[in-house]
Amino acid sequence: MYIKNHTMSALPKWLSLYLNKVHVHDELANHGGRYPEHWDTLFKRLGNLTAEDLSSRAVEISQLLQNGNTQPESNKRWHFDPLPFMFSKSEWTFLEEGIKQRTVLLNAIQQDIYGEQKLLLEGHIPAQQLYQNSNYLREGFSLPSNELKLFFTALDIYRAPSGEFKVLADHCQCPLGMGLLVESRIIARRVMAEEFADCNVQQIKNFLKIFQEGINEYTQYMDDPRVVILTQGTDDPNYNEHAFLSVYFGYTLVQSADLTVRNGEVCLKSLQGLGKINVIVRWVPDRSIDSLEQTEYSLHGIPGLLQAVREGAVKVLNPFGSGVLSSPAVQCNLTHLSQHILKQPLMIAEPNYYDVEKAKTLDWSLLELASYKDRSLKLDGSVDAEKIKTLIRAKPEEYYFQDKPVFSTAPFWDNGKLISKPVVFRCYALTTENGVEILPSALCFSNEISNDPSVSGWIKDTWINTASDTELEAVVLPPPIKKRTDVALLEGVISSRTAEHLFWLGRYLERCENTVRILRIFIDRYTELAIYPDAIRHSIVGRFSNAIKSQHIVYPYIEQEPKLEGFDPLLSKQVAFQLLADEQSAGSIVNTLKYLSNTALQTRELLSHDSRRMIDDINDQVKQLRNTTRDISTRAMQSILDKVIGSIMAFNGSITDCMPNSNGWFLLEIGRRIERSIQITSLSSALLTEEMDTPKELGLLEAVLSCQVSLITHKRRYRMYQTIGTGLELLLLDAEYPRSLLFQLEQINQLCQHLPTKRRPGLIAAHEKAILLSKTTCYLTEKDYLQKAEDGKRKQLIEFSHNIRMNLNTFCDVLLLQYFTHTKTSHKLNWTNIEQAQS
Amino acid sequence: MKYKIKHSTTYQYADYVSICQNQARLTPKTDRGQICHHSRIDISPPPSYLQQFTDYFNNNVTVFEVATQHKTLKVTMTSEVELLTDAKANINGFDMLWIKVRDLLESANTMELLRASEFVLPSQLTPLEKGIKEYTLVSFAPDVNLIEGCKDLMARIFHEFYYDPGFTTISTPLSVVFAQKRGVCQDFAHFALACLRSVGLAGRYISGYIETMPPEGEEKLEGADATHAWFAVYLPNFGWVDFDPTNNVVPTDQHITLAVGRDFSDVTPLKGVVFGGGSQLLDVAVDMIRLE
Repeated sequence: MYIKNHTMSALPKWLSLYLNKVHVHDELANHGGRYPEHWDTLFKRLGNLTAEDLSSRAVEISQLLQNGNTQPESNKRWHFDPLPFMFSKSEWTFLEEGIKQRTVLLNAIQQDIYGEQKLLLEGHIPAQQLYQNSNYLREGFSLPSNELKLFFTALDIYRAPSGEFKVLADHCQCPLGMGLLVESRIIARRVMAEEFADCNVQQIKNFLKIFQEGINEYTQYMDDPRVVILTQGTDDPNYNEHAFLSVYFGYTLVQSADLTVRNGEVCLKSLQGLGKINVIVRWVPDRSIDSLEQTEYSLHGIPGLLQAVREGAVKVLNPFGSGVLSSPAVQCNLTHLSQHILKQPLMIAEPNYYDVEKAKTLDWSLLELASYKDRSLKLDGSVDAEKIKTLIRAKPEEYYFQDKPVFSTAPFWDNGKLISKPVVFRCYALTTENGVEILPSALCFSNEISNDPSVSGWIKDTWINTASDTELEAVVLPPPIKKRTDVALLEGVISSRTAEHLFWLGRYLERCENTVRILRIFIDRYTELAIYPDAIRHSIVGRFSNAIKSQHIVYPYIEQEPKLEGFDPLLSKQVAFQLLADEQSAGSIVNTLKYLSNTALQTRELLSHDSRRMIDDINDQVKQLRNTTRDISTRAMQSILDKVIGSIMAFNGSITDCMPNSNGWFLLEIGRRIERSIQITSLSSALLTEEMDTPKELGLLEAVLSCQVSLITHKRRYRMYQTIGTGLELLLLDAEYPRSLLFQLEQINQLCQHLPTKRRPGLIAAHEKAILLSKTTCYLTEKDYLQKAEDGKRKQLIEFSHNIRMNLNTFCDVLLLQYFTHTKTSHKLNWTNIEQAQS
Repeated sequence: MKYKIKHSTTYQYADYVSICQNQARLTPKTDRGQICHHSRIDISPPPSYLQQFTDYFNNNVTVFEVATQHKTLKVTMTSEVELLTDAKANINGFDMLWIKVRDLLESANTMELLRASEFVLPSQLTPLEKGIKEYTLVSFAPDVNLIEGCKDLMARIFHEFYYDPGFTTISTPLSVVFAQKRGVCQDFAHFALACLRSVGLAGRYISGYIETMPPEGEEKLEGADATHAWFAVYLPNFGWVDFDPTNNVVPTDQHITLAVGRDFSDVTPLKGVVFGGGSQLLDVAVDMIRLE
């Protein structure tokens, strides 16, 4: 007992409260007593903290944790605890040895399964069970044998009531959580810097370095190696972790659709064309990674990948086939296999297994039932006893029993006090040429509802004591020159998909900003109308309201002539609400923010930490907007708009300086300018084409200029007299004015220089032609020509706007076709119609 | 017996295909029962990539990519195969009680038995449906020899099932074939495999060709032969013995093996992933010409 070694009065109150509760199998209160020194060191520091101090740390942590937000739509979050978990040096030494032993054993088994199969022949592994396992990868047999070795593996360990460590599961396929672990370590070091130093915590840096070296090993003799991290995409609940790792290691993050196989080589579809990939670090299961060769069709498959691996054109990590190691056929026999292969007892074993016959004589309340076939099946021996009886009566050979794992608990900080929660430790191992390396930490997690760690729960950083300071100075050889250049070469490789998302990110940012401004000015005008209800104001607000309702001046910027409807000023607030928070209307602010945040998520590996925080803010605003109701006050709407524009501006600011053009930054800028050009043309063609009395006309012009933040410039420049013509000149035709249409077109023209071109010098590309045509139209058009009305209509202005819109559409189409063509989908055909066969 | 085989598959698309990745299992195997003396694959438009490998079941797989834009893809395999009829026919003296075979497979203690034991397990296309075991046991009384039982099972399928080319597709489940007792050679092979496996015997699926004879007095038409499917059962100390339930014969000199596997999905003669293309039309023509 930890408590026996300590005087309660010396401990902080929040800790003694926890220790005084009844604990039977607690890491601190019970098991902590055996090696109390490392906990002592921690609490010596933390002893000075009050409960309030700890709570404020918990808040700070939750703000820092990025991976905590899995998906914007879900409420799942990791709770990262301000108290680390402590392992003593001696406990860890044992665990380290045990994990090493197990990894070596698993590797030997894998080599045999995909090789001689002696273990099967001699009956150490039941062949029939193994052959039936869907993770037994028959494709593996035609691959080079080094494509089947273990590389990066993980295992979940818990402590049984006896104090022994047990294995809950092996993860040899795509071990999750290392990104989360690294991130929580970074936060822990920031929030608990002093404690960290006092406790002599072993660093994880070296392991990560070896991990990266393990990846780079395959590229060290190459001139221009490319390493990518393959994720299933933003639908994957662990996408954030994949993005985090890609940023941490500096590898391009790709999805299956970004890769294609050409001439037996795997290529990335990038803005620059197809680029050969040398190493794929995959987070896609091996059973459905090649939609051509494998029968299990998956959208995440890359047709032809296995052939590229077979020919050695690409290295895939983790290598293939290791899923079979988690099958009951292997797991149930590990204790025996350890004796047989290593001639050693297994240091960390899994819970005991019993076949159905043997279990009949045992106490079921301590057991659970599992299936050889269905890995998800777990039935509690006491709760589900009846169900179990039925199952094992029908097919006794399909099931087995195992000891119910009894997890130890650990203290977690929750609402100002410590509570106890069951914990499991996920440890990571790396198999290299030089043996097995163990990550000197673990992801300590608790999930009371489910044992599935992919479901969010509570986590802790795990601290391993080092005996002395000298161990911190690990000897690290300087990397060979070749390796040092790798990361530099990687910059500039951006997939076509990411490029397209950047383009749309620019468009949504601008769209959002513009819609907020329009709504602000609309609110301003109709509240003014309520105070001064004169005919001119009535007519202006009416037209404005109509242009919003009919979506002429907001997305989708419909071009047809607006129908003139009756206008009821009392309904203005409804129009404003719809534009703000109605999810049914395409261009509403809530929808635009949603698209914006989804798009940003798709490019999150390119964004800085601060920018990603802004996206969290935007998500919060989406949630808030969804909860607003029609009876919201105008005042409250204005305050929401202030917040939205604040986040957008902050996001703009945070990205301006962080993204180099080589990363496709210019595409965001192109998107932004395109969107702005569309806005300017639709505003003028929707509100300024009708000839009216001068006061009405000028009132509308003032509204339009305000929407384009150009009112003051207009007033200053045309002090003497202002007409629709002067407004149009400023908004459309002035090449030097930063908010004018022509200025946007000039900018787009320049930004296009960054796009890789395959044209011969002297010729210009189709998208450049479209911009050139628009530019020329602007340069050659006079303001008086646009202002001129016929039968009350400015037909030339309508035509001018229409032509510009057409050209902009052409530009976007060409961009899509030439640079973003990844969207083309494939389909699989089994080309044999055996039905034609005759007898 | 020697045959020359020409197997053409033509695909016509409504739209252009920009690129396609393919795998073909069209090169006949060389094993104890046959020798593939020569084979050639012609692809039009010509492939930008072409390689061969041997899969888990020792089938020859051709991997190819066509990167030229096309609306028609034609894959023609020409091969010359010699059937070693002696090796196939001579099972006398090797036969044993089916129960003995089942027990040997259950406790497989040689590499050969271990490999065969994999074919005892139900596969995706040959699930163990209700009633199949009972159906099978009618042919396999405890004192029946393996070959005898298989011949009986084959004959029952031949007589009780109706050959109906329009009835099934590749995705028709086995339970429907069993309930309706209708299908084509592929369905009969799958059904027979499900039967064998239900009683613990090892069966494998075979895709190949069968020689057809024109009606008396008529000339044989070009492209009139066909791809075919049948099954084989594992006989210890001997190897795999073929049975063709569609024709109720033990294949000797008219069946050529292309590829073997647990079921059709392991041996698909030609499959591909295409980009673009839209709707498509397929045409398959097989010629099997007796050379000597």
